Amino acid sequence: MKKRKILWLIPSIAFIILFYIFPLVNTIILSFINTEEGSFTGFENYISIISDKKNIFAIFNNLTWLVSFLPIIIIISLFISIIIYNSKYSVLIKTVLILPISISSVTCGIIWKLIYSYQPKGSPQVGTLNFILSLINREYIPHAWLYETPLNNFAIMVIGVWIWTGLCVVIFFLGLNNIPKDYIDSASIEGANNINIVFKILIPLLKKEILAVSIFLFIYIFNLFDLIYITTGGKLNTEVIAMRMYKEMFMGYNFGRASVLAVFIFVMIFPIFLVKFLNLWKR
Amino acid sequence: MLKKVILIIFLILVINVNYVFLKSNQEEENEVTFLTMAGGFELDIMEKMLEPFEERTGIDVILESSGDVDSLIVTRVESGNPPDVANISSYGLIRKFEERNKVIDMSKFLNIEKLENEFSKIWIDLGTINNKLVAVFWKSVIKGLIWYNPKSLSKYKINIPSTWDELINISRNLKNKGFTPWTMGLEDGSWSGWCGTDWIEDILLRKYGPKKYVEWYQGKLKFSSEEVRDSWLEWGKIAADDDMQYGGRRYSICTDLITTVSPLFDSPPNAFFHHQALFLLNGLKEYYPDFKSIEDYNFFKFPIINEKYKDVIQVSADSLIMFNDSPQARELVKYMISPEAQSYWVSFSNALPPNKKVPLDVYNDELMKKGYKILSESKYIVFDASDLMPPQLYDAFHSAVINYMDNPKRLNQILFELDNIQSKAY
Repeated sequence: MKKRKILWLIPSIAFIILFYIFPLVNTIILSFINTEEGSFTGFENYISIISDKKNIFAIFNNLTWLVSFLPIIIIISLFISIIIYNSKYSVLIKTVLILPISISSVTCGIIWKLIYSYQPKGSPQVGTLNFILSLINREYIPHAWLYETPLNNFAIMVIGVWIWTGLCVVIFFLGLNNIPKDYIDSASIEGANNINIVFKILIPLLKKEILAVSIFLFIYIFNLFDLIYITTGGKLNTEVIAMRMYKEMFMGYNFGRASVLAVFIFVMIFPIFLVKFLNLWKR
Repeated sequence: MLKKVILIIFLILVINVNYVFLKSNQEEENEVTFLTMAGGFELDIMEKMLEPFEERTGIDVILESSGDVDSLIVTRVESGNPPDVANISSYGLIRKFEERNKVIDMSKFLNIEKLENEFSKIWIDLGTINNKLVAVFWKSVIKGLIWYNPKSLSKYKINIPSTWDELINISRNLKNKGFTPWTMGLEDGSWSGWCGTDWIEDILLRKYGPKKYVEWYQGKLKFSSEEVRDSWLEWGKIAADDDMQYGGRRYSICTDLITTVSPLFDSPPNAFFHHQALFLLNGLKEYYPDFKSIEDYNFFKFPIINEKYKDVIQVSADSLIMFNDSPQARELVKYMISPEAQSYWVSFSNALPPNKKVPLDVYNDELMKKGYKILSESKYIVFDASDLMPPQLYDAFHSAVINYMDNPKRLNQILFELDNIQSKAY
């Protein structure tokens, strides 16, 4: 009986080996190969990737995203979900917020390129943002949001926040709904004010959801490519590691170097997976 | 239960065997797969262009189009599923394919004597890598043209400059009178910056000649060399000066090429000159359908910088490469480079035919004829240098142009970084 049960697992195991384990092992092997000659090259690809300033800069950009984008989106999403927690318009707000996720990243990039569009001072501003700011302040000097360093990295992050906030709000909102109302009522009766309730009851009880969202965003940040590709094409210090990988692979036609970057992304993401997996295993 | 599992595995095997069988049957059919970068109206023209070929030979051309041919072709070649014939523009990739023995030597079936008779030497030399003819060219454009609005120039009594110094003087005079002489657009997604690389190439070619130009793209002349650095500085007379270009440097960096043409047609004009290749004609016809060539827009050849190199011109082109040697693929290549196919293309699109046998009367626009005249009168024809550089250097050069316009004071550092990449790229 037990043997038969194992038989049912064969297709899934075969699928995982074929489409996950094999490509992973193959990528690791490729990272040690000189693609020009097809020979084993040891750590040469790794050394050449590390010694390339562009890659270091791309890693730095990913880390900038990690320390800015991730906390910002969590704080904003938590704030919105707590604000709308008892609101009768919560469904409407959630629906509106989650809409961008149904649009492809490429389209989002194009929409925001129009929003950020820049015309020189004195010309009518076509970009929504510069237009609004010039209405508010007549002396306003328009910004080329996507082309001014280091402002441009943050301008792209705003697009990311716009896309993913809705989903994070929905996850936090579900978490809030799972918190028994008694906890909040008891705290109120004991004299806790709203701030205390948020920081000492709601947020600690949302730990699992915050962790889930953080893992998801962490993976998103290290796989980030399309938004950058569409908005700035990686120019003016906006390049990220996945973009470097694309260029090494498809422009440089260098599988070895591209695989090193793929291995780097894997190494960054894998420990997070491992922690989550071990947590589930313990349960 | 075990029987069911075996049955499922059996079914999967049957489906696979059928697939392989069907595929091998397909391969025997009279067809050829052709991957092209042509899209939009160019794809329509290509489909029409291939119709007579299909009717005459009975070969079915399966046309696949992609805006990102470079990525697609690498993936398909490496997965063992390349198209029979592909149309790509990246010369660096062609070289890489040749190094890996992925492309077919077309001298095996093309009549070289006929080819030499119909094509200029530059096209055959470019297509020949390691003594193998791995690429043939079917569509080209000349670069280094200065576009202008003839009405504005006549209104403000501006003569067409014949030398670079004259052009700079005219530009400075216009600037001093409160006009903006130039308009530039460098934005093009991940390709942003190529318009600037064309500028530097044009200046280097005309000031220091084809020999230095060739040494440069072959990696023998550094970016920080006196010649290349000086070319950047010459360009900087326009590019580094906010008042020389419509909207300033920032606007030029973040605006696409066709949008930046519009200041030429403003009244009063917001700009007088625009540096671009002949293919700008496509955009002008699409976005300004009511305007007429010569009357509303025109171009002159990039002015002379050094009298010794007045007969030089820079070109770029789309190539054809073959991955699978089949009679159908051979026929398709022969057709694409024939005067018949290229005449069809020239009569509907705005590119120059590399085949010299294409009659001048099929050209669909007077400016095309003017472009052809410039090309035919040029003694030295060179290919776009950045396109010939290794891909990583080509990409870095594009970024460097943007970085320079963002902050011209960083030129030395930018050139030093390019030197570094250049030293590792060859």
